[in-house]
Amino acid sequence: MSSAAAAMTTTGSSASDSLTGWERLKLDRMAMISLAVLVISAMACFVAPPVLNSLDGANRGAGATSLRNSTSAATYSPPGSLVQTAQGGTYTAWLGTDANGRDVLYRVLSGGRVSLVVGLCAAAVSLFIGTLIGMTAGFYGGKVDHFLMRLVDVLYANPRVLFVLILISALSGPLSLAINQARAAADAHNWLMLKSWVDGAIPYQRTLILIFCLGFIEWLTMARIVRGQVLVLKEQQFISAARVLGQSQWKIMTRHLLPNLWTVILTYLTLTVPVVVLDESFLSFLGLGIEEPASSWGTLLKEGASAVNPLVSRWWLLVTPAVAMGVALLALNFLGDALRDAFDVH
Amino acid sequence: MGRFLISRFLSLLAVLAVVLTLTFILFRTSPGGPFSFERDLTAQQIHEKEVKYKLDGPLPVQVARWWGDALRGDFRESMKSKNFTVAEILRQSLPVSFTLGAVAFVLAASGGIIAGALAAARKNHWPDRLAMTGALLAISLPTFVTGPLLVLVFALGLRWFPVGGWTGLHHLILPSICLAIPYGAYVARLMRNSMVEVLGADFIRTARAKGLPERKVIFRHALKVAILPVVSYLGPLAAGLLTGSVVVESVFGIPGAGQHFVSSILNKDGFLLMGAVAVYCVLLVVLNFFVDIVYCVLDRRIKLYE
Repeated sequence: MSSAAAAMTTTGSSASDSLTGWERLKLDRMAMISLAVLVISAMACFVAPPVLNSLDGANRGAGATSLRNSTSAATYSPPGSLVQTAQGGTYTAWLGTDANGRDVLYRVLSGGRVSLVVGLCAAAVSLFIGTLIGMTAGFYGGKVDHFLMRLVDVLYANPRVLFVLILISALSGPLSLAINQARAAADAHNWLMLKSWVDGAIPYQRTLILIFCLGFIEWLTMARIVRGQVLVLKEQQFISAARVLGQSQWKIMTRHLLPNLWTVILTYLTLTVPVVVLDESFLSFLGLGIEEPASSWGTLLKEGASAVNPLVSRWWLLVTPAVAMGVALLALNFLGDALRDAFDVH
Repeated sequence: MGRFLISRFLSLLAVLAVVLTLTFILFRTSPGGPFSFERDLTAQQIHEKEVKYKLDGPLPVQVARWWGDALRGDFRESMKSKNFTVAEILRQSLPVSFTLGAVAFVLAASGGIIAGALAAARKNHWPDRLAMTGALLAISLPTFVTGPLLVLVFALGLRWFPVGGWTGLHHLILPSICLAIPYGAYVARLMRNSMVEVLGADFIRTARAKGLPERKVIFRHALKVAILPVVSYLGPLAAGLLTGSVVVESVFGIPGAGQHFVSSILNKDGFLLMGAVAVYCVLLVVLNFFVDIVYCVLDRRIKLYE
């Protein structure tokens, strides 16, 4: 899909054939722009929220100062206007504030942090499962392959939404039970280490479940691609050589197959992140995603979607997170497509 | 051809059976259970409820009894909406989703195919760049963002369409566009990539050498071959669109079937869930089978009797 790489193959295929994948990627202008956009937005999401807070000493995420003053007319403000708060002093909310007087820019950036972390971690989980299943199927072949690929077919036929909803509703109970038990055990035995870990994990229960569940439903494509690639690789001579030399199957898989798979894995990791971020936003829309007071792009978009109505249309609550998420996912998709073209994996 | 189609049909039926059985097992074994909302039930009361809903006895027996009922067309009573059978609930909501989904399907398929073909024809020029960037953006935004944005511009701003509701044809336009956007974008991407490949083939060079106008080369010769990957995607696409989307329904206030997929899980209404999944899977199987037939007709190179 990446235009520059495609252009090269038409104009000078002999020149581009001699380039390595990385060199081809570096020549792809859109991919490099996307990479820059990604790095900048990730840095903004991780660095800017605390910086914004320290600028004027106001806690922009909490909105407590304006909450106390919520009867005043200044609670909502369109972009660019000053927000007057009674106790917190005056500060500029560059992109307006929400119903609780919280700075939209701050919330979008810190929401992006949650969305990107969930996206990356869940994509990593899916990558692990997908690679494991795909490699096993491709390497052992025969009945194992047949069984695993039919399993993938069946899971493809299941509506994905349904599967993740069932998983989430099935897992939330046991996880909070496990956390409670771990806490009780830590209390009983006075294991301070475990206690602090468990206490730290409590606010992130929902996030953990989301990461696991989303990773668990998005591995199907990865498994198919990895299997296909292993089927090609395993017929090549260096694998036969490794077999003849008497290397164990484990070593062949980890030492010889994996290093040849990692461009495929990197490509599909890049392409899975946007899918997962979209899934997370969908779940947040249903009220099953990240829970208040934490926010992700999904929860912000949900709030924004309900803010667009015939009575008062507070469009900036929808447009700001939509632009942020659109830009990030667009950049990820562009980069993923460029990687796929550069390394020629299909 | 007959043998190929029969074996294909049987394997699709097997997938259907496995998916439905798995869903039943998941719903019965997932913690919480269908009666966990009614508090403080004694073991006796739970047993009575299980008997009432035919959910007593060992799991394989429960599955078998559900299949027995389902094959006779009885999808049982909803466990949450008392006095409604699952069949009644679906009969009310499915026609709405079918109407909306059919319009969205036509929009997504035709729009995607045309945009993809045109993009491939002007590869690496601005129509291609524009269409493909637009398609990527459409894939990158969830429907509950495009929906309210459409409402903001076309309903609240320009006042061309109503904001929501379900009483007439004019209520169909915004939601079906909203539903079609991401799928149309996906079709366009598929179409563009496959068309680019086909346009490099020898028979296209021959057609051009004969002096055919470019329009004819693309839409008469290349499209017939390049459309194949799109055709195989149309089955799942139609199944997904026809069963409704919870997001579009809630954004535009439409009484469709998509909401039942989600609410049945949240309410642990197992039989409604089974009914909804059954509808989806049967549609998927039937449509995939139909796509196989179309594929055979379109592509004579496929060896049908393997």
